[in-house]
Amino acid sequence: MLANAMLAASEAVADVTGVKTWTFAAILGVTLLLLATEKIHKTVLVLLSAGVCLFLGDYWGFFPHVEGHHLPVYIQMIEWEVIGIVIGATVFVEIAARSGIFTWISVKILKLSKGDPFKLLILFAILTAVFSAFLDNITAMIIVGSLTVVACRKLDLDPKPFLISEGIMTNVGGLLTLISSIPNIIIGKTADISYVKFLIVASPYVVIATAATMIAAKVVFGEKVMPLKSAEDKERNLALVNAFDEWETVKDRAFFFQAIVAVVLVILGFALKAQIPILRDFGIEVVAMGAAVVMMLLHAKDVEHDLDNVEWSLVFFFIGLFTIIGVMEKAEVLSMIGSLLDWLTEEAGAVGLMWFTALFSSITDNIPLAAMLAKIFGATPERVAEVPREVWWAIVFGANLGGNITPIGSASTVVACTIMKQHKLPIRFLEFVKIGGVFAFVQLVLASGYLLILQQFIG
Amino acid sequence: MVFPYAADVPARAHVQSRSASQFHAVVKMTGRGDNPARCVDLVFIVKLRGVDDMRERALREFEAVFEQASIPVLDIDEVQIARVSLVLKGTAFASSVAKLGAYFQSNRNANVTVHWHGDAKPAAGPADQPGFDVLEQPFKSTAELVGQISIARSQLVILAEHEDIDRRFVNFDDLVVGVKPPVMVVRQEIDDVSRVFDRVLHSLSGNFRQTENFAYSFSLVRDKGLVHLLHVIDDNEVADVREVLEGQSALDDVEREALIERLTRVGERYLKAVVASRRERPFDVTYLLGVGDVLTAVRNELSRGDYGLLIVGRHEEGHSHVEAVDYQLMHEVSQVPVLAL
Repeated sequence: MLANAMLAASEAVADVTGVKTWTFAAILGVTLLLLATEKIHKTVLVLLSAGVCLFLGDYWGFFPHVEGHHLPVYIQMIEWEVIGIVIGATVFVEIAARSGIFTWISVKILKLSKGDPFKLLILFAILTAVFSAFLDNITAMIIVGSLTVVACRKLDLDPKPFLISEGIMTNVGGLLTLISSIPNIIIGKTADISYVKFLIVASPYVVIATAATMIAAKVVFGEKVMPLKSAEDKERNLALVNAFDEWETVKDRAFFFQAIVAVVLVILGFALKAQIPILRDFGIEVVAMGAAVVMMLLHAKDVEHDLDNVEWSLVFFFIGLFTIIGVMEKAEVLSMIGSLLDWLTEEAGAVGLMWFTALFSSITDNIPLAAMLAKIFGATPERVAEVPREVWWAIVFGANLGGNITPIGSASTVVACTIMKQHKLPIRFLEFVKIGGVFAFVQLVLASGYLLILQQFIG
Repeated sequence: MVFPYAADVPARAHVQSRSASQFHAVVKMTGRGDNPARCVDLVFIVKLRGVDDMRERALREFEAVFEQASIPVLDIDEVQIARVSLVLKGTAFASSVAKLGAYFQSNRNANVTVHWHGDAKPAAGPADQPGFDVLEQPFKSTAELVGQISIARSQLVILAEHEDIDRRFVNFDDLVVGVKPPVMVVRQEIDDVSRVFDRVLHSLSGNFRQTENFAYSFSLVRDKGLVHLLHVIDDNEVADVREVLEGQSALDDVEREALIERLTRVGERYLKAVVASRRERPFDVTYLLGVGDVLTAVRNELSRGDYGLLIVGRHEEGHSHVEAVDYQLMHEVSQVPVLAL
């Protein structure tokens, strides 16, 4: 019944009064508040909220019935491209990870450190950043974090500084490419930023931020990550890391090499999509889904299991979230927030918007924020053209880096804390904020400067 | 072969559905993966049921993968061979035995004791080495020889064995089983004794019982030499593990493959640990892990490897305990000396 009732109307719907707008704004506020408290599962929460929004929107006639065959309005509201990328990339990464590529690389990097704590800190931080660029942040953190725990146990090191640094570096690495994080995907799609363009603009900042973070880590963690001095310690640690055998993490060498080829081809596919005739007319989600299909072909024996590993809760979360945002748009809640943001951007510039986004992301999920801001600034193609380019980058930097301020600010910092808790090294909320805050502050200050430079070049 | 704990292992479910710990237990009890340092910690990624948090599960799985990748470094000490017993019987190879004795005397500062059979007086030449301690009393039976070696507290016994069974003074099998130290048998003339210890082939015959085995290989090989470890997973090994797991039912191809795959993983991990343990030593250690027939594999390896010594067997509770395959190797191989541990 609801589906029929929600027949789409592309034309604007009249009679959206202040009361109605404020009612929906209240619903949005409560939803975001409940999301931040994490009392209810986020997927259930947004689906429930989406349902309320649809019923109320229909009751107030936001979605007038039209004749003919139309997709229900909530179908149109959902950004299927984003969902396609998430599903495709998840399946691809899940199967590629099973080939042992990432564990193999991780052990190689461990050996490269020779067991020296400072080298280990730097190399693992870079590794996490690079993995985050190509994997989702959670998987990157799980792989590198697991090895960190095992390696630190062997080397008799405190894993805490390493895990915190890695949790923070996943959010820096998450800035590197268009598909590195979901806010990137949402903003990139809305602002029509290509994979290559994204990489070119973001990579200099990622390099600078990584270097700055490592310097900050040396200052913050002090003795725990200092380089080894005595020849005896160096020799001992070298022997311990050399005892790791990267091939032990690879179950099937043929599949391992096939997966390497597939990963390289997929990265090229993302990068060269615009130049490849067959892909040119499709969205980037086609590359992601194509990559997933290829990997399932290579690993055909366990397709059911591969598909089980798609984060279906995340997919449904998106469905609910996009529906809420769609209704909010029609209820003119977004235009109301947009006016506020326009004022903020005018007064404080893109830098101010970035800090606002970062603070918001530090206490709640950055996906709804990115989706909402994308909808506000990218409501129409004309609006997209009007918005200065650095505004999009401000949202990307803020949404990603804000996750470093608190332990609940991003999924990867949550995973880092989970690992610490599992190994009886719990970290308090404020203890993390004291450390993560320093890193996030350094990174956000650098990002502010970088945005100002971008303003000069791309503005 | 007896598995004292076999009755404790449930023998019903299919091997592929067994948990890692059960498989580990079976591998350990059959001597296929045990060692004193407990270095081989089989951690299989098993599907954990009842864990609802995907992330926690993934963390545990990856941690297990990396633990598995961390090859433990075995602590393999050198064996001091300070006392060597030579059994000289006047056969053609007695001079080679004497040369080996002289080698241990000069290179290892070993005290060399010469034992001789009552019917065959010690050959004047070989036994007359300066520093050799020739026992006054001859032995008249293998049992007496075992007693003499025990009194001499020898750490290595070297003897020659004549091709003609009637001209043998010692029952080699009884000697190997009866004495505590390893026994080296020579069946061919050795020109250059030092070459014996340049390239050593150590056949594991599916046994990973004690690191002490490797201590002998590592102690005997010369600087810049090579110890090549050969481990072949044969039908006996598969059957041993299978028997404990499954009882009497027939072994199908799928089960066999699953068992071989797991045994290969256990074996490879252990061999890597042995290789890793020689890092600071002045010789190389390599390994070959195969599936098939042990005897064929050893013969093939000997024919192409230019080895000077073959090491077989194992020590158990301080006494030599020779398996059927080792027994065959000890008797079949004649071109190089065979050391039965």
